[in-house]
Amino acid sequence: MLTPSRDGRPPAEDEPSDQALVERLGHGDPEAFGPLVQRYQASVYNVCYRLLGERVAAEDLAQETFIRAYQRLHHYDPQRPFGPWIRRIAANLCLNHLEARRPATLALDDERDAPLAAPATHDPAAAQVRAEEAAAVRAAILSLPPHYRAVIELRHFQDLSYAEIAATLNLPVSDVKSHLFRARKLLARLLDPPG
Amino acid sequence: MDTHLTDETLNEYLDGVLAAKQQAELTAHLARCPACAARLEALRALFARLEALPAASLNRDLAPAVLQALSPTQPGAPPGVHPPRRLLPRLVLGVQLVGAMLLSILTWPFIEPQLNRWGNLPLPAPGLGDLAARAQAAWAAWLDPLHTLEMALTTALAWPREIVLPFDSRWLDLAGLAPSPRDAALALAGAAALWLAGHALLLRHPLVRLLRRRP
Repeated sequence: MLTPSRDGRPPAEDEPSDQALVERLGHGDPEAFGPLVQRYQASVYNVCYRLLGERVAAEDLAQETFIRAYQRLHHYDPQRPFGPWIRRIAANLCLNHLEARRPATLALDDERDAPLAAPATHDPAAAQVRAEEAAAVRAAILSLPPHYRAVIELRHFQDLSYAEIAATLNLPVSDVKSHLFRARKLLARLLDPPG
Repeated sequence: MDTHLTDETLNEYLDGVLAAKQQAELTAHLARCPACAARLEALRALFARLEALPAASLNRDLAPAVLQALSPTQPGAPPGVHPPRRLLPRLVLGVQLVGAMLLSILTWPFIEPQLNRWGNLPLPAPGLGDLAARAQAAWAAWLDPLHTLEMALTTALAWPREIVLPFDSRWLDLAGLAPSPRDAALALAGAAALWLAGHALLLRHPLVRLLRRRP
């Protein structure tokens, strides 16, 4: 089981940096892509899992994200960090996937939230509460329309600015703001329904 | 600021996208307006719940499958940073084009009188007929050794000439078609030229490629 991470695993001291690996790719060494995949696969998978809610589909889209990133490496600016770039690709791929399969069933299944990497605890009751909370939040996100899901992902899990989200989703900033505010309002209503 | 803050303003406040002066004004308002402060806290709690969502674990390493998919031996493999040079198709295209041009030149002596017969159509640039005649002479000279070989085989092996040279016009005579050698050569060369040019150009047309693309 790979260590879950929101930002990707940073290279160890004796490992090449992301930029060095990208440079090797640029010199025609495709094997250099392997370490990049291993470094960011957990965070990319989490983007896909939050947006799709299905493990198998998330794995497939995560794999597709890396293939797409490899094809588009000439668009990557080595001066910028690799992780945010590839996670933006993942978010876009998932959004396209969601748009293509609309209307999708939003029924939750047990598999969806089964093996989450919750912090280790010796308190089964607390672990249960955390698992239920996580399941509720995931279900709330998955009940949003695809574009709302995407802006929540990019803003809250990838920390992008409005302008960056607009550029990623090819939307006007005004649309990003309205999607984001409405998505938050819907989430609040779903997670804390008015009594 | 006496009126309550809008939802949009509260969102922008928490997102930290407001100008410093406006941010300070809102902070002052929130300090004296419990209703707005409560709405802000509710929004902040939502942010915290999203932030607290644990990461899911990935149960397998994607790298082998990704690298396999990127392998140049895979059909439809992506070009990568350095797209592989597609020399072979270009070479085939070049050979086909040259072949089509040669065949056109070789058949020109047969086409030219036909065009003249059909209505004195204007002929292409002067000298093309001469060029075609020279090319045809070269072609005939190249065929001479083949005829020599044919005769040698026919004599040495005592095979019927039709086996050694199966496309001899006598086969066509037997089939009742009885075209003249010139017409047969014209038809064969024309068909070959059409096939070569068609295969080289038409099948590589973007529209055809689009139609052949996988769904």
